Amino acid sequence: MKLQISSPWPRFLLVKALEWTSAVVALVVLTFAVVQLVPGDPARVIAGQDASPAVVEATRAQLGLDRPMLEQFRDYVLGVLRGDLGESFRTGDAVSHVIAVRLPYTATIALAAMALTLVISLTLGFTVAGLTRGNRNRWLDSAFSWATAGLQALPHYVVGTLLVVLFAVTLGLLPAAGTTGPRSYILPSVALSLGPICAVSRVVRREASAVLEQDYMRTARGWRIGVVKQYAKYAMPNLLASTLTLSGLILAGMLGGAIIVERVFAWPGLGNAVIEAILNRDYAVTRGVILTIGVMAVSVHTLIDIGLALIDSRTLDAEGASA
Amino acid sequence: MKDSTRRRGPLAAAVGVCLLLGALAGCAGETSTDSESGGTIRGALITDPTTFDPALVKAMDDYRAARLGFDTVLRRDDGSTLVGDLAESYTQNDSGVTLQIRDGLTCGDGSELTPSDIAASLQRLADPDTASKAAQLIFGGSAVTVTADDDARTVTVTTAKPYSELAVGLTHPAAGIVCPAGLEDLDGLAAGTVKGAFSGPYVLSSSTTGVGYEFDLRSDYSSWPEYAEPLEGTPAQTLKFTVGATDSAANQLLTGSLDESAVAYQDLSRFPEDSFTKTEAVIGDMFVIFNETAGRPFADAAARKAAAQAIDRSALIDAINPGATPDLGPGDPGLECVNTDASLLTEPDADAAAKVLSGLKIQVVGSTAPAFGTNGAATTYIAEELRAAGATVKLTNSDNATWIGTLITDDGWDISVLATINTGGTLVTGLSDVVGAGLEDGGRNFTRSDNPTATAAFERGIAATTTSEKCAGFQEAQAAALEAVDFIPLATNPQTIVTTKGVTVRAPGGREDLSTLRTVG
Repeated sequence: MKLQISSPWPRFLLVKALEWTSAVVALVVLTFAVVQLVPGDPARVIAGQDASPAVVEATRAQLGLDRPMLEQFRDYVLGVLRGDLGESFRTGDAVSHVIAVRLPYTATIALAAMALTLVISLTLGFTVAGLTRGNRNRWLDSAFSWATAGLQALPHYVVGTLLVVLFAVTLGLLPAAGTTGPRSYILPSVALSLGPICAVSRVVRREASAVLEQDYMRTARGWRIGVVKQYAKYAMPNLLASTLTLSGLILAGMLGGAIIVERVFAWPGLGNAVIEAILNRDYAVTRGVILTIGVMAVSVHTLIDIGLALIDSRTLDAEGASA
Repeated sequence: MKDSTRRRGPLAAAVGVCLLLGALAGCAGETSTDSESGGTIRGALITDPTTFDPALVKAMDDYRAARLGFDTVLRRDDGSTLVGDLAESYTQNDSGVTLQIRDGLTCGDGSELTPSDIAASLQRLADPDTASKAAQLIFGGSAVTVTADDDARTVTVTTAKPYSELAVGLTHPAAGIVCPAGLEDLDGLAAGTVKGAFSGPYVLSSSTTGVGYEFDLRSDYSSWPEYAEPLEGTPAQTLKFTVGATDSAANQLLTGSLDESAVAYQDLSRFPEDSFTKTEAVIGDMFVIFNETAGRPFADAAARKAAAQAIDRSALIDAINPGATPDLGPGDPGLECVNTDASLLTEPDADAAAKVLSGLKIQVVGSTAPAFGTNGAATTYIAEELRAAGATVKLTNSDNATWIGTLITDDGWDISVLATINTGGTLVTGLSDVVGAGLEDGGRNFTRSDNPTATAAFERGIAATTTSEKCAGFQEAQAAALEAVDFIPLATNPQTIVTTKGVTVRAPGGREDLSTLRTVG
């Protein structure tokens, strides 16, 4: 008897799994290859500037860098499959331990920034859309567009530095850097979220303007339904798909943006770890951190696709058709 | 009137979000204790120490950690003098050094530290299998035998060849004494987890890679170095170091997050004298080096002299760090036996330089590390001076690892600026970078110079049995190297340590030593 499967979900999930696997395989190959292209001899760096040739060679052998490249790659792949990312060339710590210690710092400011982004951009976007509905308050529309475009154009490190100058050095309200307590999470999170807040609030404002002109929203206004209820109950659900899609992509991007922000705030997350690892030619940590960030980004994208399919089954069909 | 509580709304929301997420992620930051109330001093490390095994120190933060956890038998004091640490006195002759060890020494676990234990630690440092890169500087490179007499409380370090810098070498942080518990567990020693390994005033009490390190003062420790000017104040009960704060150290000091940190010279003017103390130290020295490998442009002494004539030392030092003290040799003016004769240096003469350098193809390589000026200012300046003299210059400034990778090869570069890490404060550190055997021959000489006069004088200085003989040899070596323009002395690589009110630190012999951190007042 032939089993008929009418649901598109199995095929959809299979395609997503294949895409995820392909991306991760590419990441494994790329992370191994890229660090080999970085100039400089890791054995010399690890041994020290004035180490004798004998000490340098001993260091090279100790790090396993004297073995053929294919052998090193094989060990790297087998290690990844076992969940063993090797040991730091500099400190000898397990790379998985380095990631376990430092990932929460990056994840915390990324998630805090994401939360700030969603709360502020939805509020701001809806407010501006409401106030400018029907071509009212055109000055506000222009001011909003100019301000968000300008702030969005500021690089993370400029925003971070300005925040430090204002809130830490000048006003003395918040720590300038480091992890000296809960208050030290605020400035890095704000620095990371400012650009995304501008981007998402512009999308929300544009989408909300369209939704607010729909007939059902006119009807709601005609029935004298309260503004908050109008927006929260009737308008917002129609914005969630685009907002969440964009937010998911921004969250993946924040993991990269955190690298710069962590440097400005001496934040002990993965971003600082990978910069130090690159400068110190610590291949193992460089590969491990980039692979981890890459897998997280790929996973976020995959989850967004699945989430969108759950919210709107039309995307499920589109994905299946395109696959 | 404006409602201030409403304005605080977004901030409070942000705090709330952060607290919630911090709690969820289990990573809420730690709260620092103020130095005035809790006996804690908060400092900064550039990066994680690569090891807590003093014999294997490589980077600046390794040296810092070694100074806290492991005492040496002798210590440097100001004015090139040596003072007792674990040893109360010493004598040196042409076969080595005999040390009289103090009574009542203990390790981090409270066990007794005997002269035999000290001898075992030094013997292990000298063992080629240990692969200590500092061993050559400390012991001079020949075979070493270390013996002890527990009854007489002496330790004797004997070298197969005379080494005039042996006593000075024993002050090097890498010569920190490891207690028996550490020698029995080398992995634990390297990780800093063996409390009984520590012989110094502090033990590592907690560490989180990439985040921070804490050291606790040993309650039974009393063998502080006997500096001519005793340290004032009280040692902190806890030293708490944040990692990776280099770029933000000035801001953290100004906002009260740190009590002590080295600060870049560009930021020093931000610290008012009445609220902060600035302590000057030296990391090492900088000098221009040439690649004298046969076939390279600077294998020709005339070309090196022309380059020295093209380069204005004062302007170059200003480009690197206006606060640096000019050197006349491969070491700072405070070092024993360093050259003091300014006439040995080549005077600037742009016209003469142009006659030789015009048309030469020169590869300038440099590092963008802050020690070399902003974005490789040192080598950028040299490249422009050489261009102005008519040379065809290719400038490559890169990160430290790439630069040093180029420098250790004998091709791909012609001229660069070298900076030493001279934590031990020996002239040999800088001199051996420009005189003697080249890197390919097991030496430390980056220039690959062929200067028999300088090399012979250097070896005489190494093998000398008296200070006057040592200095005669080293000064002749410096004079010969300067005459041949094997290098151009530049300046110290200075380090200004800023401390907040109530915290002091000293730099004995001009070198940073975190074990001298004290709370005062």
